[in-house]
Amino acid sequence: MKSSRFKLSTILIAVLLLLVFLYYLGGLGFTENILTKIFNPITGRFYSWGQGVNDFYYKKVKDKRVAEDLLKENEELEEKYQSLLKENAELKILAKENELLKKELKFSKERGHQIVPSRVISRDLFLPNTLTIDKGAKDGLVRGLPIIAEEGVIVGKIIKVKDNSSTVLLLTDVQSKLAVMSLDDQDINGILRGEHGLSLKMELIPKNKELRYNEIIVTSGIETNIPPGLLVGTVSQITNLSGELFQSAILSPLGNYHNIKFVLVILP
Amino acid sequence: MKRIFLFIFFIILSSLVQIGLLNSLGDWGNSINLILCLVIFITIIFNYSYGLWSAFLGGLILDLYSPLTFGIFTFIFLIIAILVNFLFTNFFTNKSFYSLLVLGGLATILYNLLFYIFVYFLFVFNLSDTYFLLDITWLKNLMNQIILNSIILILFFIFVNKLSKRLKATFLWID
Repeated sequence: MKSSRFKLSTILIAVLLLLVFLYYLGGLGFTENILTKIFNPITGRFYSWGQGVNDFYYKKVKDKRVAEDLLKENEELEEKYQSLLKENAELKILAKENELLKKELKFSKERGHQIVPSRVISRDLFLPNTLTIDKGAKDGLVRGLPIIAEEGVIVGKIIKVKDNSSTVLLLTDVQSKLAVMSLDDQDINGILRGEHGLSLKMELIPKNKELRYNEIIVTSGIETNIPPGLLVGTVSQITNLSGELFQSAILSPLGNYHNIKFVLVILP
Repeated sequence: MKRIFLFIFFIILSSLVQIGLLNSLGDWGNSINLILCLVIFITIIFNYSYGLWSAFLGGLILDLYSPLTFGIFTFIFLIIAILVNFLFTNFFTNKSFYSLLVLGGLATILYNLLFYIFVYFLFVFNLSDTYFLLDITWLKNLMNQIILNSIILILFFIFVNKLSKRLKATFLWID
């Protein structure tokens, strides 16, 4: 009995090694295609249910903590109001930025990018900052293409492409890197990295450039397949230390990274 | 034959629930590893061979949807099934509720360590461009996994205890 069990574990490991070998030789492509075609609608349905549960949970938590949240929100608004009163000039900048943002959105629509609408079908067990979408190489997707979640806001890049599905790494992941610049001043550029799956950090910003709060940050377009001008976030915190060679900034994301159901992939 | 088809269907469905539903439920849902729980539970309570098959089938489907190196989930689940069976037959005397929980916790820790080691070596040898950081978030996630996987194992135990005579002899001891 013991030897037959030992045999089974050895056989299964040997079969697995053979499958891995075949997978990397491309010999499993047909089987993989059939399986993903069958499974994608099911995982997609499960994902929608999961998002429904998420929405319900967050609404419930919000209802329960409504008083606490309102108080906190009130304090934050008060602080914002005071800050805005003191810095009247910043209001003008904000107004200008708002105008630019509208122009940018219009610009993005007018540019006529070829887009592929996709549905999110799952998230990875070990990489929560990744999404699996239901479009792949058969739809013309390649590694490195940008993912747009809402109104021209980039939220990630494709890191792996299969025939019928692709994996997207969100910008909030620590392994994500994206070349970005200021919408107002293209000389203010840097590299955007994720911070623990929660926020966005713009690094390697030239020290001699003056970055402002609430400044809109967009993609710089120096990366292959990533067009310039895709919205990323607004500057919420600036770090400019005297001993450092570059300055850095924390951005408030313009996209919602927690509840992404549908995305657009911009083709090159 | 019917039993085997049902078993295969159940493992496939559980894998799809893991990929589509649990992984989309935020930090807590994402910490539940249904396939790992099934591998542990089936290996201890039912049959080692079935445990191996559930590791193999479940792992392959997770691998199909994972951006990580193909085969990593299946390989680690198979190792976990082998280790759980080894620990159970050599260090635990019976199929009690407590041995299930202790082995569940141990298996979750081993699973995470193995995963980290494999991903690290694949990254070092340029076979993968993904890596994990062994930081406080990883530790917190591990704690969440131990708690949630234990809850799932308890639910499995209660469910099977209600349905089957397999665990009826006593809550603490059978066989």
